Amino acid sequence: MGLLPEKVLNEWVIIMAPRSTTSPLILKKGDITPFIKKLTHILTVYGPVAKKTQFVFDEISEGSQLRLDYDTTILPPKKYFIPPQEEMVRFSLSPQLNITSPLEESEEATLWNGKRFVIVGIHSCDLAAIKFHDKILTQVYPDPYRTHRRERGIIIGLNCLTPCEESFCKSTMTLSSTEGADLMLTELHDSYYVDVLTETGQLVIDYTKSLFSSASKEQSKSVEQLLTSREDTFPDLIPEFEKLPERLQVGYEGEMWARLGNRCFGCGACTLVCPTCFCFDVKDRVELDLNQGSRVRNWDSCQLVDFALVAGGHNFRPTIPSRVRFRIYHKFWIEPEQIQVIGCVGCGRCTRTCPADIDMIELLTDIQEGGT
Amino acid sequence: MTYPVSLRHEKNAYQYNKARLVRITPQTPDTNLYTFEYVDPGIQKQFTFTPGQFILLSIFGYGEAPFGICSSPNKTDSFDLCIRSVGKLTNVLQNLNPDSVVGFRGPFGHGWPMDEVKGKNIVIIGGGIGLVPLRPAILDVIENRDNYGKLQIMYGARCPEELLFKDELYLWGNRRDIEYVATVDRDDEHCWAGNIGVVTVLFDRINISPKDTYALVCGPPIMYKFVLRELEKIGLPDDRVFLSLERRMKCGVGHCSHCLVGSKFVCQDGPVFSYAEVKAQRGAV
Repeated sequence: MGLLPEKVLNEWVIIMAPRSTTSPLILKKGDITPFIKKLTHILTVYGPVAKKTQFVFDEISEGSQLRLDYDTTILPPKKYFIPPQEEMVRFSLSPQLNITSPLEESEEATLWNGKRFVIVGIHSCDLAAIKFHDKILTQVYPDPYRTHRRERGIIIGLNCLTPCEESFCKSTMTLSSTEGADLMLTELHDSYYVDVLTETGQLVIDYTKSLFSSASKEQSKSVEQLLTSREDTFPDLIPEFEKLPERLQVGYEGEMWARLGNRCFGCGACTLVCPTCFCFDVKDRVELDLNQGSRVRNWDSCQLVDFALVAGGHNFRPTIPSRVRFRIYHKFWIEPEQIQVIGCVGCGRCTRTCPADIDMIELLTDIQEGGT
Repeated sequence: MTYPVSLRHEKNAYQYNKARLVRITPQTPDTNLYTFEYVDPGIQKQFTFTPGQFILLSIFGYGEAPFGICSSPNKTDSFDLCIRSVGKLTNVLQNLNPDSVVGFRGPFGHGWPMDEVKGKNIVIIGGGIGLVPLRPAILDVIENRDNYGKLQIMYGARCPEELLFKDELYLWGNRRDIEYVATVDRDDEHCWAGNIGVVTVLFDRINISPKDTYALVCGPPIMYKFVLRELEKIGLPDDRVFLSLERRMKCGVGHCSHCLVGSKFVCQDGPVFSYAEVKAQRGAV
């Protein structure tokens, strides 16, 4: 290309990157630290790090912080594309009213100064969720805020080799998702086997070239075996998962929603940790000087009481059962109707988070068995 | 999935156009007609909408909410919204001074099927503030009277003082080419000589022929249940009955998911749906 990879990386529209044809590479585990170091020179680097007994995605400055042995994280990496809180516009309340949007700034501006970033170590379930958002949030108008971030985020995926608790990714067929990743890592003894999936991934390799060597045929074979063997090690906890939308055709008036509603606290935690949930609320925030302010969008939850409340006091989903039912129908019936993809990637975060111990596997199995 | 690079610049649905409040015309004790004009004359000139579409009004510092556009689609120098003050934003709105500047996004959504009803008979059924998104359709029919068949209007309000556009109602009632009937739920002040009862009592006062007839309906959720039953009795097919639905909305463009009804976004697929579409979605009416 003639240009330095770092220059290109800073102008490249990542979401449009064409597929790469490069053969697989090897990155020694010991070289992770210099790899991350080099990336931090031009990009913000995010990855899984330990937080007490759990893991979270966070910014990292040292390779040693990176915990690629993580099982799952509290929040999915969606927070880097759809932040929990983000300013949509800033305004000043002069009589003429001045409104500035981060989307209208100059070419090099990145959404209120956000740097380009790379997320290292995203598991397949979360990759599938990112692709899901690419689709669901562009149905009529693309969500410009998310698109802006998506175009600037490089993704380095990581193949899962052991199932984590509460997950059912084999049933959701997201166990082997790699789409959306620019590089895909697989742990192989003392190294990472690296599939270069896109031209963006190739740019990252070009930029950090000296750290990678070519993978041998034996290594490729080992990885292939490793990935195939997952078919046996990962259980299919919800057989015929793809039939859920069909099964939900009946049972809308069933008693299971009242039963579930009685257990559910309506706290909305399940939706906050969900990698595919994307609902938001919008609020205006005014500075103390009462002259400046911003319009902020926040993650919202369909489980909260005012989600479907309209002016005048009518609430279209006033009870917890009606809201629990909405969440299930949204993911397993509405979204498949809209974009032909079920809105669940089997990560199990909702089950792990639920204070009322509502188990997604149990719940979906109930529906599969025609429970009402 | 690929995106053109410039997409966020060309089709940014979160771009606000500034408009000036021209005047406030009181309608009822809690409802006003607000007339707006875009600050940029070019934008005002280009502004068009279909009757039944909505627009998002922003008073920065207080918030944003969707409102059905209320003026004639043929009026080009300004546009009207008719708003009842029931919440934070609408209470601020009623205290704005003329010349205050607010923001607008839109219009969004699908309005009444004005092309499909050309040359056909139209029955308009409005309940309370539900007359608001129907008014552009009524005005368009009146202004282009030859393009449409018979026009029948049924309007119900809680009490006489809550009737909107009273001067216009009087004119509609006196026109030979419009059949207009109205009712009020109750008349405590004894100032009403017309029908008393909910809007369905008007089905006895008016003769609706199902042939070549379309019904456009807007009112509170409870009204739909009873009106739809009457229209079914008359024999109007589901695909010629259109309803405008109300839901909570935050974005207007199918992102925030607040307005979902079944698999449809009220903001983009609606707010106007045929009864046939509505029937296929659970929990719509």
